[in-house]
Amino acid sequence: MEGLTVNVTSPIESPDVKVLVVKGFLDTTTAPNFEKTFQEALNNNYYKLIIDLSGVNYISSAGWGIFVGELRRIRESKGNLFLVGMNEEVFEVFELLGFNAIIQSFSDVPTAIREGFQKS
Amino acid sequence: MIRQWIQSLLKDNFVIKWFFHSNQRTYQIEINSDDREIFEVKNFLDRICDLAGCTSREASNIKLSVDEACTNIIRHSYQNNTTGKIKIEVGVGLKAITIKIIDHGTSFELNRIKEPDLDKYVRDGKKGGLGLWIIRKMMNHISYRAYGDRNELTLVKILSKSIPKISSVQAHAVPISVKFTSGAILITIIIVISVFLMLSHRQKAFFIAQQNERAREITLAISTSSGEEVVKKSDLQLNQFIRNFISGDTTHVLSYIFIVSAHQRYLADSNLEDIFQKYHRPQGQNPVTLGLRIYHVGSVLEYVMPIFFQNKYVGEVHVGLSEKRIGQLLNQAEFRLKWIFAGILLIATFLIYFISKKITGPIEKIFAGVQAIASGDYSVKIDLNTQDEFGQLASIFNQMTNQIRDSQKGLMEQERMQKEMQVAQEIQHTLLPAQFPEVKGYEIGAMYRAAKEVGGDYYDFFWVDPTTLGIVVADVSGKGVPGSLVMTMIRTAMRLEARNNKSAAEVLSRVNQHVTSDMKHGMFVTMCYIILDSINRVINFSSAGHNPIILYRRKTQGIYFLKPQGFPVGLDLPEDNVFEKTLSLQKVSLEQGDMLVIYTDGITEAMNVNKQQFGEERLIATIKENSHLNPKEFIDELNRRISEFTQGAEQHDDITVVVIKEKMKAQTVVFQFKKKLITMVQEGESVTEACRKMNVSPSAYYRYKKLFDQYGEAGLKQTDRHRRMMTELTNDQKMAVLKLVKEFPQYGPTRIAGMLKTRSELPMTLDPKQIYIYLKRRNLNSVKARQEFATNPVDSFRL
Repeated sequence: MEGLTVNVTSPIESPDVKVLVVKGFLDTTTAPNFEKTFQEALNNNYYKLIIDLSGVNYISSAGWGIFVGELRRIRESKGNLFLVGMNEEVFEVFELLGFNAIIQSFSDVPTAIREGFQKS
Repeated sequence: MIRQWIQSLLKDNFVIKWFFHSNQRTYQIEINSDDREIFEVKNFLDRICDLAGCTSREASNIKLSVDEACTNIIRHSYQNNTTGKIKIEVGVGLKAITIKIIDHGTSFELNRIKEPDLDKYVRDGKKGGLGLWIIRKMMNHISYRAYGDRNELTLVKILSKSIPKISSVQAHAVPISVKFTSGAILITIIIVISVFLMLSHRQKAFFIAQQNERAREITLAISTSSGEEVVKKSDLQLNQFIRNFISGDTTHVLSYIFIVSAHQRYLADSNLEDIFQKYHRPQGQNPVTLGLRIYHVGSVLEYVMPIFFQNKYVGEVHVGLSEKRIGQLLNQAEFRLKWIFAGILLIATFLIYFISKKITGPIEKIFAGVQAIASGDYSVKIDLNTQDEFGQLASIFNQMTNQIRDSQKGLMEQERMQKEMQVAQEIQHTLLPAQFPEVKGYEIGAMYRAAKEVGGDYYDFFWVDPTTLGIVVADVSGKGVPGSLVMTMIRTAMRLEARNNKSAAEVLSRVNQHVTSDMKHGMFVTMCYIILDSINRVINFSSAGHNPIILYRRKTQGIYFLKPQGFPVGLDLPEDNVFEKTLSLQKVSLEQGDMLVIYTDGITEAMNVNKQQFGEERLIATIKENSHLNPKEFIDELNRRISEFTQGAEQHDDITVVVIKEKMKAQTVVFQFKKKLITMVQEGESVTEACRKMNVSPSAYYRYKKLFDQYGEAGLKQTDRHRRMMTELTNDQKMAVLKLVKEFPQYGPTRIAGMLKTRSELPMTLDPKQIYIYLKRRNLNSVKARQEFATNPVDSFRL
């Protein structure tokens, strides 16, 4: 249980989508680490983002803040941000805080691409 | 296991204490205000949640909330300074986990946290501020208090599963009934088997001896009674003789009997028909001529005895005793005995089982009862109708259960009450004004320090009209929830009545009418209501039995106690309108630098551990020495002095203080106001509209306008009212007046004023009118009263 790792991949079928695979926990100590990678993607004009949270067991407000904080910029740039693979506890917080009203979530990356990006 | 756990925590440089009290187990951890150490708090909470039996969801909620709380404290309370300390106390109760997070940084305003507007977050790209909201959502209860430099955030999570299970350690142990039964059976088996062995051994020995004896007797009998027949060789008689013995041997232990003659011929044989044959003596046997001889012939014991006739050896008798047959018989007997003993053993076992059931049954019942209690079921009752120790134990147990049940009920009630108290406290805190109002020309500061319980103090600010501010400071006689309720009632009444009513006395009278009938007998409220008119620069105030207001005059450095007459609110007074009649109104105008201090007795009665009170003198000294500070700084200094004085002794009453300071010259404020009014009209606003906005009458506007047209701005600078006279005397002045009254009771106010002016030791200039008002208040306005006062040594110098 050591911090957090973020890997950035692009699915072959839709190369304009960036998937950030996060593993570990997202709190005040690790959030800057994640934010760096996240901002890099945005600065390189990737605005179709999927955050794969299947390896994340804990997200504090610092983490949620990053997702919410950049939504406007992403959407104004005709992109979107989806969260996938949240475990039960993380999803509970997500719902409780009402983020489900502003960020869409999916069970896995392919579903997010199919339901989220290709439909729109 | 627990020891390892403590050690693992101690190893990481965390101080952990835990102690048990009543039903609550408390655990503590302290960390530095560093993000990286929050991780340790999470581990700590993990272990506690595990111990408390939280679900993983509850554990995750608790961890997230505490994480957010710590992060917030580090960010805001300690401003990212990592040298601060954060202490976390976790109480594990029966139904809830209570977490207290204590820090010593700057406090924050908890009530500002509202549900964040998520769309606004997205719109503005805002990131922070989610934390406290997360806590609100995750926890069942949240409260925040700042005591001096100590901030305490309390979070409560109610658990779905009520009781931390007491592990049933005995689950795999052997039940006592089994132990008892098997022990008893074992002992029985040992006894039965040893009895059996002893018995069978003795039976064997006895049987063998018996058979040998019989053989001997038979041999002897034949030997003594067959001599004649042997001599006569009458074999038929002898054979018949032998056969009698053989047929008499029902157990068939005799193998044979035969008689041989002295010439070694068979004379009779139980097995041989054919007699007179030669007898072949077995090897090792000799003819027996004297007494009984016993030989072993194969498996037969042969008894041999000589037969004599007329003292002459005539032959021998041989009796064969079959050892094999004896062995057979013995085995048969033993077999029978074995069955008998097996039967006995079986019966004994059953008996033991039933007896042990009877004995241990109550233990099992009691055990089941105790286990039920351990798992929180206090409704169990053990039903035993024996009168023995178990019966007594059961009845004691039932009594105990009843007591536990009752105290549990009480405890739950208490828990509920505590929770309600917390809610009451929280409500009370939300009712206190969060923001200090801005009144032109005045600086206002306030402090409220709550005692441990829900306190009875209260202060409030509200606008009487757009330029006039009302300030209330009150102290309810009762504490706790009743006091709190009265306070709420008064607050509402004040806010309703204060609007547009510029007379403090009138407002208090109306409030008194509202609340008196609804207040419990014996409860009352002392309160002080002050109205600041920022336009006319006049402060009018009334006091319903409250502590005096302290006025500090910068110019003279004098301290004045302003204490207009009035009964406390809510008293059941003997006559109608007594409250209204006695309540008086005072007016005062502040000069630049003057300070008005309104407080509750929590300050003067603040006690240190030696039960000494902070007292009025210290308060006055603080005012005198710090009159140059602005209200906020002054209050900080006062607070520091009180804390220094009490030295951590528990605060037993609420402390409230409101400080009002005049910032600018009254003339300046008034001038600016008039100027603004005239400018508004000049800029096109209608007179009615401008006057409405500035809250003055149109006639006042026209008066200003006339002065402005005549003299320009200089005309506006003129004060259009004479300064309000200071009716109150300082303590020193009062003392001087009273001294003169004692000396010259026949003198009236004018002569007293004259004498004071010329007194050599301390000349002072007082208006006779002021002296008159004071004397009237002291009921010394008649010569008779003054003479009485002068001759009465007891009523000396009450000011």
